[in-house]
Amino acid sequence: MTELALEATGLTRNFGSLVAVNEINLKVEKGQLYGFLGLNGAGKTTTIRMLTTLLPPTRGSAKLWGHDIASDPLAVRKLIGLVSDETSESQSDWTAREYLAYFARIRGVENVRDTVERCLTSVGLAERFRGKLIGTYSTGMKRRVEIARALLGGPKVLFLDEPTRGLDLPAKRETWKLLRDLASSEAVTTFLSSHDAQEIRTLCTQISVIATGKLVFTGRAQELGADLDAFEDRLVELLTGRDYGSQRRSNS
Amino acid sequence: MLTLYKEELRAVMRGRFAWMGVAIVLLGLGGLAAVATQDSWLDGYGTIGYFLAPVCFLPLAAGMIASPRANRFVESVFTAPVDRQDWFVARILVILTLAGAYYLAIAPLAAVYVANVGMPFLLNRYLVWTPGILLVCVAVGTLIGVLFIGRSVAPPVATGVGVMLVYAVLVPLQELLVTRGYGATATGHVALISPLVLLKNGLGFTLATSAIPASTTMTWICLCLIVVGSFGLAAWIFLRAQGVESWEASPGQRMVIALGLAALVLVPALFGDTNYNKDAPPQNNAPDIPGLFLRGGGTLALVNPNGPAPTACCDTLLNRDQWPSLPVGQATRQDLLLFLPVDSKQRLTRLEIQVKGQSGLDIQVPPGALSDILHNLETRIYPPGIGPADAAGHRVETGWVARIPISLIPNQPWDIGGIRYPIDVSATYLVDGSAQTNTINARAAVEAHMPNALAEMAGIGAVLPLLCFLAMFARWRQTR
Repeated sequence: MTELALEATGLTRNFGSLVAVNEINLKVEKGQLYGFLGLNGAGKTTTIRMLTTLLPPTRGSAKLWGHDIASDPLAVRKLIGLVSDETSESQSDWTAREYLAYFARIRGVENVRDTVERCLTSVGLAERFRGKLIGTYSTGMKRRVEIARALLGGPKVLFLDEPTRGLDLPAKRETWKLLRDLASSEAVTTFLSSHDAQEIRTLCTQISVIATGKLVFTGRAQELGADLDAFEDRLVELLTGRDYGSQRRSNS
Repeated sequence: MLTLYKEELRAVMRGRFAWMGVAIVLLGLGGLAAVATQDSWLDGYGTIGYFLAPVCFLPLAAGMIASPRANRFVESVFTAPVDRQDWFVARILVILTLAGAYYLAIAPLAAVYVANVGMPFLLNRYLVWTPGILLVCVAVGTLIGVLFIGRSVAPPVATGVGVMLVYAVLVPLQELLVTRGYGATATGHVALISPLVLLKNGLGFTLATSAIPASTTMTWICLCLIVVGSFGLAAWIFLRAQGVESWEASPGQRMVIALGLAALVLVPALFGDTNYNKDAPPQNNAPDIPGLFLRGGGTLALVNPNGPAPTACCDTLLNRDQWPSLPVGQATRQDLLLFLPVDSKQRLTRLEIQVKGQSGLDIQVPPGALSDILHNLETRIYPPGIGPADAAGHRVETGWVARIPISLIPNQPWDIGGIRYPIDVSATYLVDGSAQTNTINARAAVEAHMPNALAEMAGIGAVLPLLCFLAMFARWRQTR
């Protein structure tokens, strides 16, 4: 039987009367690069925030490497790294080295200086930029710093919440390459959330699609379509309920 | 938790303008302390350094607690194995450390003051009041910072500024109310909402008024309630009623929070001590000088040796318009002019003058100067209706002026600048043709300062700002 890195059962989160995430079930195998696809406001970020212990679920449960997210959050946090959009921007007056050293120390990492340099090297941040303020970095460089921060302490599961949002195509491709390399070299289970169908299809073999808080598809990415067009057509059908593919085919 | 504390503390000064901000604040305080050495240091600099500046820690604490959630830094922190309780305590300890650093940063200025004039009662109380203000402001600021979860730090900081203004403004209001006898009225009770007022009452001192509460038990209880209640409520809300970035409070918890906030405001106002029937101790050894701000109509003037009489005459504070004032511990040669209410057409047959300094002012008159004064009288022409009234009630148009050469030696100072010593002058004279001896008793004052105090205060006040500017420059070089 395959070991699971992440298992969520009936995970639900309400904000007042709004059901942001509704009874979702997830199973992510260890070492997998798992895609979590949905439109803006579908519940992707809320799900990730629950899985990373930032938001308590209203109902349901989730286990990460056997540790319950609600009852054992500290154990879960030891095993995860989170990259959300632009959180390093908040510390724009720090250098990349200072930023990573802060997290290395609070994670209890030994040999902080070497670890920081190794992580920054692994994400490809040039050495000449490491002592400069994060506020002077490009968006792509900031994203690299965030990924390096998430890799500190050797996480078992890496959560990436729209890691390429706001990046131009070359930076996006570089980030994809970086994620692929990390998945293969570090053997990290990666949970990638995005609304970019191309990104998910390029990187992930196993995916889930979420629409208005509910999972509408879970399975292999190839099952949605053999090429990107077919994949996107099927995806739009799932997300909006419209048969966009037939309409496009009849038009052509 | 220790690691978190150290890292958070280290992070505080990484802000782009952190060192510059600290340098400017300290430079301002040092400059004010230096300038205030020419006047009443405790009233001028003391009020700002020990009262108004520490209150600013309230919005600062609110901002520092709220900002990691506003800028989403907590998302990175709490996906690391960090306990929320540890982080919260570490964050408060960092703010308290900054408050302690502020207290230490202004200590050298107080040290210069104490080295010059000793420890007056008011400074003694300020030295306890200020850490109390810092503690209570951090407590209330922490509570305000916890209450706001949002993507902007403006609402908690603005609320902190509002509460800070209320707390600060209620201090002079309470002093005014007590002076007017309204300390125990409804408005007087409202003034007790400010923990700064409670702390002042508890420590038994005043800034301007002359009465303090006879009992302080409820004052201290209310004060403890505000400090412990604010920290406790903030911790309970943060850990039990909120998630990392979300409110998770049940209806019952919301009710507890509302009641807690109401208690922090209402209990001091309802139960604080308002029996202001005990005399406040004097702030220092300064003598009481009535009519200090009176101008015109004086019978005394102080001029440089052999200098002309002032055209506009005269203040109770004889050297008000001279800078610098008299140096303490040194003799200053001046001429004291006594304007006699006798027309120069009348001849004086007898004139005896006594000049006496008080509260440590030594006045020396050269031997023979007073015995020969009758033969050295000068005259002064007054504008119509302005001259002193003679024994018959007529305004003198051209009157006699006695010029007394004196040496003023101020001693036993009770402040570093603006030290005011009373001078008593008593003159007995007899007009030719009159059998009645007339007496004039005049009271005025002179102002003195500690020599070199301005340079000492400015020097010591510039050290820390310079170090901060150097640190700012070093960080700029390191990260550019």
